[in-house]
Amino acid sequence: MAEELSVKQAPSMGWADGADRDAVLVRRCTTGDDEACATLVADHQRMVFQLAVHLLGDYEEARDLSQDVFFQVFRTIGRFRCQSALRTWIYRIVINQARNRQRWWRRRHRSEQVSLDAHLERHGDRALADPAAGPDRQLKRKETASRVWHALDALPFDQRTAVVLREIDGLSYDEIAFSLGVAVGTVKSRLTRGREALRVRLREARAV
Amino acid sequence: MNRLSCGAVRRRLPAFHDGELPVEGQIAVEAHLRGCQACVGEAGDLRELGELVRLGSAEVSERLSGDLDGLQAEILNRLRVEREESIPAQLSRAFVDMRLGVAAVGSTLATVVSILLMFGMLYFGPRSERPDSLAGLMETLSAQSVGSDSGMLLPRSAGVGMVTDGVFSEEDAVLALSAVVTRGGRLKNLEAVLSEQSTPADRDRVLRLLDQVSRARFEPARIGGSAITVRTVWLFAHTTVRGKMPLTPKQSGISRVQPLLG
Repeated sequence: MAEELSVKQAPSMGWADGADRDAVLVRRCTTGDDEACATLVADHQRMVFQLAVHLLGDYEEARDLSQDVFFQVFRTIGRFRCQSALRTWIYRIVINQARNRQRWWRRRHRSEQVSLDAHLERHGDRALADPAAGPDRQLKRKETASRVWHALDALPFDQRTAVVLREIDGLSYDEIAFSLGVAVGTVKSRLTRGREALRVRLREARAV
Repeated sequence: MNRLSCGAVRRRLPAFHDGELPVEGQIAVEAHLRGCQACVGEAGDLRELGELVRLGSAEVSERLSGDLDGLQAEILNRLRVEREESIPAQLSRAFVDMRLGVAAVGSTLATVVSILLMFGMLYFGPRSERPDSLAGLMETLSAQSVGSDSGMLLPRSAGVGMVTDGVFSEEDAVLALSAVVTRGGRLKNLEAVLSEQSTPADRDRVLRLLDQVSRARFEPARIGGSAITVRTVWLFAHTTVRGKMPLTPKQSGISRVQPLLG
C-alpha cells in the first residue's frame, strides 16, 4: 500500500538558496557583468528555446523569439524584485512574446508557418529513433509523437501554454498562474479543458 | 475518513495527477483509486496523456542540444553590440578624449557669456534712443501731435536772417511763402502765393525774393533735440516807414524775415 503513494522528490537546493542565487545573478546582470549575463543565458536558454518551440511550433521563429526574450530580460532585469523565481519571470516574458507573435501572425494570415508536425516530418525523428527498438516500435512511436504534436498545435494558445508548462516544464499551478498572469482557478480550468481537447483529438487521430 | 465518490474523485484527478492536492486530499483519492477500477482508468488516461506529450517533446529537446551554444553566442554578441551602441556608452566614449570635452565646455561658456553680455547691454544700456538713430527718427516721426504747441522748436534762419536787399524799395508788400525745411536746414518746394491783382513787376520782385530766400540757411525744426523735416508757411510783410529825417540807403533796404506760422 505504501509503495502506491506518490512521493515528491525534495529538491537538492532549497528555495531560499535558489532565490539568493537569483538575486545575486540579477544584481550582477544589472551592473552589466558580462559573465553574469552569460551565466543567465546558459542557465535558461534551454528552457526558453524549448518553450518557444512548443508554443510557436516553428523552430526558426522560436530561435528568434529566444533572442528577443533574453534582450527583454536584460532590458528589464532592473525591475525584477525577486517576488517570484527568476525562471518563472522569464517564463512570463516568453509567453507574452509568443502570444504577441501569434497575434502578429494571425493578423497577417501567415501561411508559411511550419507546424511542429511538419517540422518532425522534415527533420526526422532522431530522439525517437532508438536503435535498440525494433523498426515497428520506432515507427509507432514516431507516429504517436506526430499525432501528439498535431493535436497540441491545434489547441488554443492559452490551453496549449498551460498544458506545456505543466506536462513538459513541470511548473506548479502557482507558477503557471504567475507566468500567464491569471488566477490559479483559471489555470486549472485551462488545464482541464486543454487535456480534454487533447484527449479527444488523440482519440480521433487514433481512430483514423 | 469519509470516502470520496467517483464524481468527487474525477473532479480532483487532474490536481491529484499534478500533485497539487493537499496531503489529506491526496490520501483520500489514492484510497478511492485502490478500490475503483473506473477511476483508475481515468487516472491512467491522464498519466498516459502526460507521457505522450513528453514523448513528443523529446524530439525537440534532442534537436535543441546541438544549437544552444550557437544561441548563447548570438545573444551575447548582440547584447554586447547593443550595449556599445547605447546612448550611455556613446556618451562615455565621447568623453574619453578630453580635448573634445575642453573645446565643448569652452564654446559653451563663450556662448553663455555672450548671451549674458547681450542681455546686460539691453538691460543696463541707455533707455532713450539716440536722436540720430533710425529708431529715434521713427519714434520722433510717430509722435502723435506735432505743432507749435507741442514743444517743437520752429525752423529759424541761421545767422542774421534772410537779407532781402534790393527786392523791395519803398512799396509795401504782403505775401505768403511756403517751403519744406529739411533736417539739414535746406529749403525745398519753395512757393509764393500771389494775389490776382499782382503785376508783372510784383512777380519779378517775388521771384527775386524767392531766389534770395532759397539761398538762405536755416536751423531745422526740432522736437526733443531731434531735427525733423517740416513744411513751413511764412507770412512776409514789407513795410516802409517814412521818418522826418531821410534814411541812409543801408537802413532803407534791410528787412528780416521771421517765421510767423509753422
